[in-house]
Amino acid sequence: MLYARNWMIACFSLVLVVALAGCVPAVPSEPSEAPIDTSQYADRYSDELLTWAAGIRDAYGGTTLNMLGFAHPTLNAMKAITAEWEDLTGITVVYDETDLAKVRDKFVLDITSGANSYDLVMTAEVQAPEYWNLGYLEPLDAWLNDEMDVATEAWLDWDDLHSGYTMMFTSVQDGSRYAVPISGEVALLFYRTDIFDELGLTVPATYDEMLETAKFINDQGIVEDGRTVHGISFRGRPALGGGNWIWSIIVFPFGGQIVDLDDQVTPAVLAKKEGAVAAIAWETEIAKHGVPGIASFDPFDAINQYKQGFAAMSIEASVLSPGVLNPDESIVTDLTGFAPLPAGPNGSFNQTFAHGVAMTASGENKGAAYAFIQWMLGRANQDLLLENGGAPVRRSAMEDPANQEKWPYIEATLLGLDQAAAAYANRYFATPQVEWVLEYLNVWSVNVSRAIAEEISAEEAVENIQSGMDEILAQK
Amino acid sequence: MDNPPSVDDLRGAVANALPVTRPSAGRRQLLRLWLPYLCLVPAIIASCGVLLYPTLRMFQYSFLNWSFGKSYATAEWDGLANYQWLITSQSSTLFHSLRLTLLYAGASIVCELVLGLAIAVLLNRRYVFGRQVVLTGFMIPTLLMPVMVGMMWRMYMYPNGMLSYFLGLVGIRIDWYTATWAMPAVILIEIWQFTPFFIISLFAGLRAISAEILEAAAIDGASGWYRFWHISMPYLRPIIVVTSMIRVLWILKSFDIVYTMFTGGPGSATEILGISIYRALFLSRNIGRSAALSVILAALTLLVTFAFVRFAYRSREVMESATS
Repeated sequence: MLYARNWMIACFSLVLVVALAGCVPAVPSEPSEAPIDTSQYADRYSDELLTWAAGIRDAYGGTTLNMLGFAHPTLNAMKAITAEWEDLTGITVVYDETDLAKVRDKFVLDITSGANSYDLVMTAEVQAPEYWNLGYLEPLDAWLNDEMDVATEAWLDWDDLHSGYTMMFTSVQDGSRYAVPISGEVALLFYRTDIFDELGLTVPATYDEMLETAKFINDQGIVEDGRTVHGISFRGRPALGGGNWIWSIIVFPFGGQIVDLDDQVTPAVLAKKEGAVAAIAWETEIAKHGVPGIASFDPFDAINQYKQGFAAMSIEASVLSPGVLNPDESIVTDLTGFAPLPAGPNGSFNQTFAHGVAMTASGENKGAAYAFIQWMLGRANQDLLLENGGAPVRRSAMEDPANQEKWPYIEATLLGLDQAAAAYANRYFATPQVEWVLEYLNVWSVNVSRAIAEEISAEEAVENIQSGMDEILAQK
Repeated sequence: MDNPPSVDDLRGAVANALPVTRPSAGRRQLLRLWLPYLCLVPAIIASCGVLLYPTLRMFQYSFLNWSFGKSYATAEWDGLANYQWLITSQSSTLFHSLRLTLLYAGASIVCELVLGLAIAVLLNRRYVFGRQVVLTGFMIPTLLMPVMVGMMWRMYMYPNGMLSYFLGLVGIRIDWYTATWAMPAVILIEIWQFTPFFIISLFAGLRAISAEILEAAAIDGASGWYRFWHISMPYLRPIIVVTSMIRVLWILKSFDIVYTMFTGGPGSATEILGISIYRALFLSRNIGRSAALSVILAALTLLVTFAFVRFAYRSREVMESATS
């Protein structure tokens, strides 16, 4: 009996050891000396690009790049095409993925603790100013101007990148560039074409019309397969990328502002209080005709409600459109229309938000890191990123009729970019480029969420935003 | 034949053979007095390094004006400004968070205790089919990571989630994601996850009560309720105090479930102290204020612990005086 038990223990231990050994990641192998077969890539990449990749392989093959990123369709698209990069160049990319709210904490802690673990960091436009003001990012100008080890290739074609995205990572103070946009977004109106047709509704041209439309749909009490279809879904969570997002876009069309238009730093919400209050009041009001719990929704909650047929409209980021069009994720794939945001009393404005990749100032593999972002950003990969759920940042890709037909949201996105350009011409920027930008955003986010949850009035929210921002500035 | 030497003879012989190095009586007394403390020195040093030093540093940080992300060299002494801000500023959420934290802790623990006790009593009945399986099953929620629990319940409580769906089938509609229901939602999750902790502890306590005492009381005509209230409960009281105290300590520092579910929202409906500390540090980047909030939380925790310990001692004294 004892003998059998010992045998069982021995066998179990052996299985456990083998299983654990299987869990240990394989050590990346050294790149093979023999040239790789690039014929499989011939239809996708030009000879010029393949020759460049071979040169990068000779110079940096065997290097491992560590990149910190946040969970986002952009990162998914990047990861999907990274295997090709690794195959072509012999440079391994290890992604350390966390969520949008945590990535900045993780990065700051990594740098301040002296660990300096990352060569590359994925950054949203709201995080980048803090990073570069604290000296965490490598300025890209010397690299882009061909003053460093790795040349900038013609196929990078910087001017083809939409300026609405590149300017998000360019300092307004001195014009230095700190990150490249891999994808970007504007706010779009997603709407159910079938419900609009059935109820004889037209795409709202103003925010007042949009409110009426949401109320009208909600009042119909539409039930589809046991689901109640509400008027609208959007994000309102008191966190980064939550309550602050829509307000910082619609505050300008409603006639408000956030910071002083000249210095882009001094809080000036009360200077145009009426507009700021009207924007929050509109959000609070329309939320009543939306899916219950909007004040708790993050972007993914908001779009999931739409994708699963619980809302007839949604104001969300254009970058989430591929998911809406993906039948594996969405039940409204063929029932969705895309439109730019409506106009407010002050006009029709939007904002761009970009998801970029930056080189860390402390990274030890800058040459390989620059080659990687150049390759990822190149025109050749733009369509591939699109195929894998990314969003285009190149004007040529967005204006391509084939892409417009295949990706119906691109046309609305371009219109949204025009709206953003109109906003920037008036110096209406939603992201102040100051080191404490996230502190500002936190104040907006919490107070807008509190207003949507009807804890405080829109007026109180605006006053809290002004006083909160004043307090932050006074401490600097 | 000579008698063998006695133990005392041998001791004397050894003492005489050894060089005279025995300490004097005074030194011996001194050594006896200080030796235990000397032995404790390494442990005290280690404890100071691991426990006291970080606590004191946190206390020190609470007096600084220091931004997260900047070096310590940029920190400035700010006196009581952080505490003053927390108490007087219109933007401060201290009192709101304190109120929510106490509500969260109080409601969760009372429900967990009552439910845990009821289930433990049921499981302690003489014939319970599959008692061990049930007890093991009850442990599962307690073993799960709070982040995982938060994610799981977030999906269940979605407006179109599983829980909402099943409640809808019986005509109950609860919008968990709204300001009205967010706090009850997280309390419910706490109860789901940690009631088993009370069940297991109290069940063990009930099993430890001698069956003879209960049988004797039954023979004397004591009713079931009387036996439970006057015999079982006094025995369980120390266990209830200790388990409740442990839960209070856990729940006051709670963060994961609320953060995963609602990040303190909607609005500020679930902004407990743990969330306020997180926001002050990572979103407002204010190490000083975050540390000041942590000091307040630590003080609150100490206060509650003290109250529980005092209550436990009093319960013991009452029990001892009753049995003597």
